[in-house]
Amino acid sequence: MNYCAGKLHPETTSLLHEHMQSCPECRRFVKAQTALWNALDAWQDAPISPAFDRRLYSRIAGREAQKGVFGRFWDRMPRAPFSSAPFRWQPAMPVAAACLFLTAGVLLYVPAGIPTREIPVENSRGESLAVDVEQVERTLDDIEMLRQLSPAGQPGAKSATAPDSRNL
Amino acid sequence: MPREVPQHFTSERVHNDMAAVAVEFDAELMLRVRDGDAESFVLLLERHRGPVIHFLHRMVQNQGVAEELAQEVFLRVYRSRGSYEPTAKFTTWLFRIATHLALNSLRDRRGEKGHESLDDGQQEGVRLQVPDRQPSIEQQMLREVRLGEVRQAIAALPDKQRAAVLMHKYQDMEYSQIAGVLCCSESAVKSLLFRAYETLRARLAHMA
Repeated sequence: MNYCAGKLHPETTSLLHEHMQSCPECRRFVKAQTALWNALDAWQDAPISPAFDRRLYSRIAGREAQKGVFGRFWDRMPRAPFSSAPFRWQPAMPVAAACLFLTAGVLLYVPAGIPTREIPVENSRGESLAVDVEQVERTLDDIEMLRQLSPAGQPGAKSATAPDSRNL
Repeated sequence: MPREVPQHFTSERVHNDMAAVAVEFDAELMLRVRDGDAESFVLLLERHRGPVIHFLHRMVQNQGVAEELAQEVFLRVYRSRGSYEPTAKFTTWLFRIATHLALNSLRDRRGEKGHESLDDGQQEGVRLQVPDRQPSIEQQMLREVRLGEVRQAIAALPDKQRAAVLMHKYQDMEYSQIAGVLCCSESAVKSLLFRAYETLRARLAHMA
């Protein structure tokens, strides 16, 4: 095979030539292999698309842009200590994302069994109302602020905008 | 009086030196790419684009698929630049990626279309051949028929034998390098090549 490929050492080539003089079997083999070698030459290289490089560079640029600052951050992360092989951070990323998602879910989830800060209050007509404590606090703060801004400015002066607490 | 050096020894040594320089040059370029030099990647692409695409084209027998796979090969090379260590010859590494992708593609296409792709590839290959200086219609037809037979004979080889033949015949690669690409021993490569050429000789005997 190397003989047909022209890769055989010249000394070995001359030895083979000498051998083939007296060996018809080897002569036949070399003839058949040379014919095959020449037949395979019929398959020439096909032309390459002129846009090949442009497409590749655009894919690389797209990938780099996709990586962006976050990608560069991962690239600069330190290697694993005491290891010659580079540490792969990429497999850890989906795990970290999953942990983050679970944590956020646990923090944001409010189970139905936990009581809210609403308290039942009855108005003057005896009707039951659910009052949000925070809303009441905010309203009281507003009343206090309006009281301080009131032109009368006197303690005990009743603001015109203050709601009647009896109606609560 | 200067000592005479045999001609073959000199030429072989020059050839080996040139090969060694080429190997070092590729590794040097890749190390520069690792350090962020984009120009070196352009040079690497210039040097290896043709061989990789031609190899893939002969493997999958479809120019469009071959170019798509070659894009993936160079994309992987670029992506792996950070972890590149010049422990193996650059071309061995490059063709290992190319062969791996080609074998996966062949397996996938075989699953999708069965053996129909061989006929498709033949038609495409005929269309893509660059015509030489005004051959007669008979010559052109004869050449197309011969090319079709060669393509079919190579396509019918088992995947590993096909890869070995294509690297040996068309990429001019040494046994050791093919062994590196196919992750097997040199003797296994010789055995693969022997069986493959034996099959091809039988199938294309009428072309002799």
